Parts: sequence; structure tokens; C-alpha cells
Amino acid sequence: MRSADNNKIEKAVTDINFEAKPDIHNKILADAINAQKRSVANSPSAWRIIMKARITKLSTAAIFTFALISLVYLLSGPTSVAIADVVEKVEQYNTVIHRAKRVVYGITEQDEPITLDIIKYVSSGHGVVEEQYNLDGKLMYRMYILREQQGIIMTFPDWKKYVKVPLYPDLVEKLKNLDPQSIVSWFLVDPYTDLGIKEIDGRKCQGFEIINPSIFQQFGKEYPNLFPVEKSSMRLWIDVKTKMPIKGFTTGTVGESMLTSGRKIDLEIEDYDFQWGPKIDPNIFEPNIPDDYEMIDLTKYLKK
Amino acid sequence: MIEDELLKIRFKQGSSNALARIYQKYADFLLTLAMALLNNTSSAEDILHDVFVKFAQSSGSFRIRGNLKSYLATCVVNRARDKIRTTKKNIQPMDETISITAKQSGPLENIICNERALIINTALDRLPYDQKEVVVLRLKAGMKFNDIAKTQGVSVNTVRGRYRYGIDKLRSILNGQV
Repeated sequence: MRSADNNKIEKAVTDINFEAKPDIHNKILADAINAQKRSVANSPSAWRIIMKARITKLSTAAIFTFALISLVYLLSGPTSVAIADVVEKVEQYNTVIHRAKRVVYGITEQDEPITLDIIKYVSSGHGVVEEQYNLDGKLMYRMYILREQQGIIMTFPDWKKYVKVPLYPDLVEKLKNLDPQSIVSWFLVDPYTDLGIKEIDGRKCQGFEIINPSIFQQFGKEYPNLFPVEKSSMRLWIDVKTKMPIKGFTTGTVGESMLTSGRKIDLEIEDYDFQWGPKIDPNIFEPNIPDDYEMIDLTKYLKK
Repeated sequence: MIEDELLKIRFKQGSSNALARIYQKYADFLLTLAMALLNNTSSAEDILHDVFVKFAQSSGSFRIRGNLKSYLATCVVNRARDKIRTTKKNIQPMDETISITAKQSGPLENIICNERALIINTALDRLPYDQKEVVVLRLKAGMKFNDIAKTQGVSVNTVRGRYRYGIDKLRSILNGQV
């Protein structure tokens, strides 16, 4: 009896609600907005968010942007005296599969780096599919950037969820021409540094570096709430003998944002084990999202 | 939840739309909280005003890791405590200034409520403040005992005890009115 009465009391307290009339709300909100304007105007720093997001797990997935772009770089080759040779070689292939290792710093509460394994499938006819695994070999996500889709699709088997991120128009246009020649043109705008000759994995290689590639920066500007790229660098090593890329190193700093769990993170990506021209099962490029997967729609969060 | 995370980012960036949306989402909830704690309409409005203006001023340096709703609720609780401390007993309880039957007069005219809410609020006001705070935070803000304990700077067991005593006393005060 007493417990039943207590439940009624609890419900009664839970249910009480008061509302202010609109004019009161309007006044308070107007005062708050004025206060905010003054605060922002006087604020020395503009972008420093710390959040403890429940979507932390998405954060590592967000690193796909670098993956995509570094792959593109690898396809494109450097704008050097060797470019003609490299492009000519790369152009012979419509497909490539390669692996990557990503290390993410600053993403965990303990600031322990996270290491991830990646496999990427690229087909100039279809697009890019990337799979990310943790060190136990468990698939964390599969990402699709397909020519026919004007967006990025990511599936998370463990969660039974998927995400769609619309692409900005410029990237849509780029993806329409996912062939090496077109890709090269994306990067000709960026100056590079010749790193000279160095032995990489027992092979004589020539290295090239681009600091703050414009396409990385553009991505950050287009998706400031998701993945604000602050700085980045890309190094590519070309086998002098075969004129083919054999290794890529990308580093980057991404500002506090939704998909980095509100943290500033640093990334190191090593692309390796390139297989040029393999036959890839076209089914790999079919998202085939199961019916019981729930969509997380990020569209409305992409507004600047 | 995801919306709140985005709102925090946009608010941090100085978006007044984000501030307006946060206000729209939580203003009435915070007002109800303040009313439950102070049982005084003008004080509750003052607190809502102060909390949001202060919150808006923090835009440039805003930094919270946790739940936005709980954060704002804690701001209201802290303000209410300050108000109690500074005004001592000078806050006139609503049931002394406005009768329930005359609820559309006086400062209450700015606030829309129902008779039942007034009865509950009046009963809440007869609890010791610490008990009232626990009951309100638990039932209105949905906070866990652990979090309330941190807010009050006491042990979880103390908070549980305050809650139990508070509910028992409310039952006794209301005596079948709900």
C-alpha cells in the first residue's frame, strides 16, 4: 500500500510542468542571444569543444576521409619528373587492392593510441570500398564510396547500423571520373617537395611530399562538424625500378568535432601491399544493407 | 542525444540558432525545476534568465563533456541554492502569495500551470531543502543518485536516505490528494 502510494507520489512529481508565456521566453532568449554575441565577439579562441559523445565508436570510422584521399593520392602519383612514367604505369590498371595501417592518437580517455587495419578495394568502374578491422581481426565497418551513389555509405555490422553522408558537389564531380588521369588533375594544384632517393622495404624509392594538400583542407571545410582537418601531410614513395607507388605515409590533425568524439586527434596512416590490376568481385561494391540495420542519418548535421 | 552533441558544437561555434534550439528544448523543463525548488514564480523566471544568459556568455569557452540537459539542470540547482542562501527565508512561497484558486493573478500570470502542479509544488516546499532537491533532481531531471550525490557533496547513501524521507513526507503531506 505504502509502495503504491509512493509510486503515485513519484508519478505526480514527475508529471508537474510549468511553462512560461511566450513573451517571457522571448525576452529571456533575446537577452541570452545578445549575451552570446558579446561573448563570441570577445572570445579569443573559436573552436575548442570537448564532448563525451556516445558515438565514440564512429570516431575511428571517420578517419575514412584520409583513407579515401590518400588512396587517391597514391593513384595520382606525384607531380614530378617521374609523373609521366608513374601515371602511365598506373593507368594500365583499373583496379587496385591495398592494405593500410592507421594509428589514431588522442581518441581514448587514456590517450592510448589505437591501431587499425584496413583493406581497400578500388575500381575505376565502381568506386572505393574500405574495410576497417581492429587488431583482433574484427570488422568494425565497411565503407562504400561508389560512383553511382552521391554519398558515402558506411555499415557497422556489430551495431546493425549504417550511415549515409552526402558528398559535396565538387567531390561528386570528382568521383564521376575515378580514373587515374582525372585524379592526377585534382592534385596538380598543390606544390610538392622531392624527398630524394631512399631505400624502402629493401627497394630503391623516390619520395615526394605535399604539405596541407588542398583536397584534405577542402574536406575539412565542407564537413566542419564532422571532420575538420587542421593540417596534414602526404608522402609517397615510388619504386624507381618499376615506377609504381609502393608506400604512402599520411599524417594529419583533425579538430574537435562530432566524429572525433569532441577531441583533437592525430593520425598516422601507412598504405602498403599494393596489388595492381587484380580481379575484384563486383559484389564487393554492392552495399546490400540488411533490412534489420538501422540508419543513422547525419545529413542534418552536415550544415556548416 | 546526437542532436545535443551537435548543438553543443554549434553553440561553441557561436551559433545563435543552436542557442535558440537549446532554449526551446529545455527552457520549460528548467523553469519547472526552478519552480519546484523555489516555489516562487518570479524567482524561477530570474533563475531561468540568469542560467541562460550565463550559459550564452560561456559560448566562447564552453566545455562540457557530459549530458547537456543535466548540465543545465545542475546550473539551475546551483542558482537556486545561491538564491536560497542570499535571500534566506525572504522568498515568499507561492502558497502564501497566491491561492490556488486565484492562480491567474500576480506573478503567476506569466506562468501556465495546472492546479495539481501547484498542490505538488506546495507540498514539495514543505520538505527540508536537501530532501526537496534530491526528490526534484531524481524525478524531474532524471538524475542518478550518484550524480546527485556529487552535486550535493554527500554520499550516495545519504542521497538515498533523503529521497526516501522526502517521498514519505510528501505522501504524508498530500495524504491522498494525488
